[in-house]
Amino acid sequence: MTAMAEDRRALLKVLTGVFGGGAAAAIGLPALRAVTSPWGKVTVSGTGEFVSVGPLASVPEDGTPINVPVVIEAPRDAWTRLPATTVGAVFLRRLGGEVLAYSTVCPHLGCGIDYQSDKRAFACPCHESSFDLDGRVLAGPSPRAMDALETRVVDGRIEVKFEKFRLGTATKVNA
Amino acid sequence: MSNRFWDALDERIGHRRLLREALDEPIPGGASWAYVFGSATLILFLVQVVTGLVLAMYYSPSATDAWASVAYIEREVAFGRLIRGVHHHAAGAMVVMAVLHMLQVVWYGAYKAPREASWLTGLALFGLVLAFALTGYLLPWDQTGYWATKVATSIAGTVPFIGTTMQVILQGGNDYGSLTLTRFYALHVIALPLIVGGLIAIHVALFRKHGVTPHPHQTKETLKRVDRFYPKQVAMEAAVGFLVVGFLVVVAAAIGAPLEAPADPASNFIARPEWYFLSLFQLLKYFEGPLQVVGTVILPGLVGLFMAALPFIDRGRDRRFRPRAVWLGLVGAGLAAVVVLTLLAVAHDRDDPAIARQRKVAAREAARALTLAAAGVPPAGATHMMAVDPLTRGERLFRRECMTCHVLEGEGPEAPEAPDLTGYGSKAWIRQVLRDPDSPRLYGLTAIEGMKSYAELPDAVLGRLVDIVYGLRSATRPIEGGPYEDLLSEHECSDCHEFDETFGLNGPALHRYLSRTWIRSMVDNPAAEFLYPDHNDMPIYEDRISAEDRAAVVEFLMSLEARGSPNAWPFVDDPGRVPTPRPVRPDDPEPESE
Repeated sequence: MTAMAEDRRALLKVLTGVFGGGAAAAIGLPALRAVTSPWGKVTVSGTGEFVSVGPLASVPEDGTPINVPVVIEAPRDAWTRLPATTVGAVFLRRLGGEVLAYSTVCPHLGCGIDYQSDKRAFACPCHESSFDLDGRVLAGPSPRAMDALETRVVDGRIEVKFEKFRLGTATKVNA
Repeated sequence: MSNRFWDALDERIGHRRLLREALDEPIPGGASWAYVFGSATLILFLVQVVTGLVLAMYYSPSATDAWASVAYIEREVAFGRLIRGVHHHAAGAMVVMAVLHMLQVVWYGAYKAPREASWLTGLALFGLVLAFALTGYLLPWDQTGYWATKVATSIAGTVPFIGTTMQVILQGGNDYGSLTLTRFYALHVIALPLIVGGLIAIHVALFRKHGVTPHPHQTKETLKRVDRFYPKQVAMEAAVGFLVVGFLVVVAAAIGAPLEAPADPASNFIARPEWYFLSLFQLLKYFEGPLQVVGTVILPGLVGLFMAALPFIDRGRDRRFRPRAVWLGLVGAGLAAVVVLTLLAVAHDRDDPAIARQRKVAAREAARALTLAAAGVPPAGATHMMAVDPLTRGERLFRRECMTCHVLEGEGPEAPEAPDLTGYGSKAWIRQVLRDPDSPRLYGLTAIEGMKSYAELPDAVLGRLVDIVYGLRSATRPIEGGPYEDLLSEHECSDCHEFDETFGLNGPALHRYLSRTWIRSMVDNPAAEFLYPDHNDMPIYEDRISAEDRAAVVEFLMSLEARGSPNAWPFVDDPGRVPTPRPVRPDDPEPESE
């Protein structure tokens, strides 16, 4: 093959790469960005805000925890605006004048924690983590205590800042 | 990476031989631009796979969610509008490329023995491309998709004997609904891609078996020149692929893909298929009654049959053009017929003012739906969202109930009998009423008469009167410019009109004129004692439509002020214009009532 033909072939190879790569990038890059579009967005609303969960009077004064649903008015799920919807639950406890709230989400892998009144302790049904009334780990694989949530009392009603946290870590970090 | 790695890999998977076979395919007669259409179609298919995958991550195939999820893709997903635009236009481009590919094959006689199987798989692939287009068109569950696809499945229903069964199977039940969507979705994203992928593999394998078909007029000499597939032919194909993809991205970025208002089975949307189906659509217009099946099934079926039979009726070895003139002519005539039918369909729609009007309404509803969707779509779905939207519902009712007498924005009855409501409630409209109440565009053709014209007033005074009348609607916001009661009596307004809550004079009470409450009273019962007890010929709507409907119409009327086009009342500021004398109505019945 002559040197010129050899050069020509080399040029054609480069052109193939440029055109092919260009076409692939023109579609591929926007497609990748579109796939990652939900990153950093609130696609499902209902966390991070104070939600009224019921009257103060409904929580026993002796410190026994109760499980109450968290109902959010008109939450969004992607394109849908839902009517008032239960988005989760919290445990409420009264200690003196204070109201404590714990997330029912197990910090281990996210199962729903249960309160066992006979043992006066919390227990996760999935991997048998158990927690005392203050949320501290008694036994099992949970890497940290139950996640406490901020509370406040407004006009005799308890409001909880409903949040979710990263699972499986020793420290509590917002998810 | 080192040669040793590649050597070891080749020993294990043998990629070098595969690659050599793929790339060193000989092309007798040399590489040519004529061969790029097949690969361009394949590239478009890959574009559809990638963009379709992204869309499927956000799309929800249910009658309540489909439109909302597509609107979400349009509004919220990064590059969502672009990806959807590319997917939409690539579908059209695929039809074009497949047709070009087919024409090149026909031109070169490449369907001839021994390549009949290539030709037949290619035809089948073309049919599947159309099936993709048809199933995909419905998925947004918007007005066009819904109605155009409904026509298509109804056509399936006209097939003799098996039609009804076929239609039920296609639409997944007795009528359009969620099951139609899930079915079309499953076909569009699972069944068709699998079938097409398999057929492409066969089609390409057959092509590799038989090689390219060179230009029919190449000589033995020129055929001696042989290029390898790589790099020259591949470079050509990459260049075309780049152009096609670039074109699609630019078009998609510029115009996106259409998304009409959510499908509404109660509306009378003008169903139009995508442009590549327009010829079939136009064909339907020529066959009526029992002959309908000729246009829907028989003619298209014969064309398909002819194309499939082509290799078996054009049998000679000779691929040169002249001896094959009959076949080339027939294919050309068929293509010309498709083009002519398409153009006829386009021309017909373009010249029809009724269609232009409907399109305007459709565009407004589509924009309204997107605006509403921004606040989230209720679980009952986007169609419901529109049905309960007072503005949308009000406009539909207004068009049905009111535009038999009233003109709005240049549309309405040919012989209007009631005031033009363009810009109703705006200062321009009020000014027009004050200057020229007896104009045939206002109250001249109604039973209402006797209001004097204020056209002679100095502009500043007229402007002040307009401001006052405009301000009457609010119970809380004071009218600009301070106390105005004296001005009303000075200009004899209060001789006929009441401006507080009492009534009993000759003209309609203007207490909170043009407020929601006032307009509602007018819609409910214009013959009420404080409105036009003796001079009314407008229907009493509280006897005709429900309270919700009346409320919706009022919301629509309230919106007219903001959307009144600026040129609606062109002579409003023309100081030289004299008020129109009251026209004589053929049946002027009303004597002055007191």
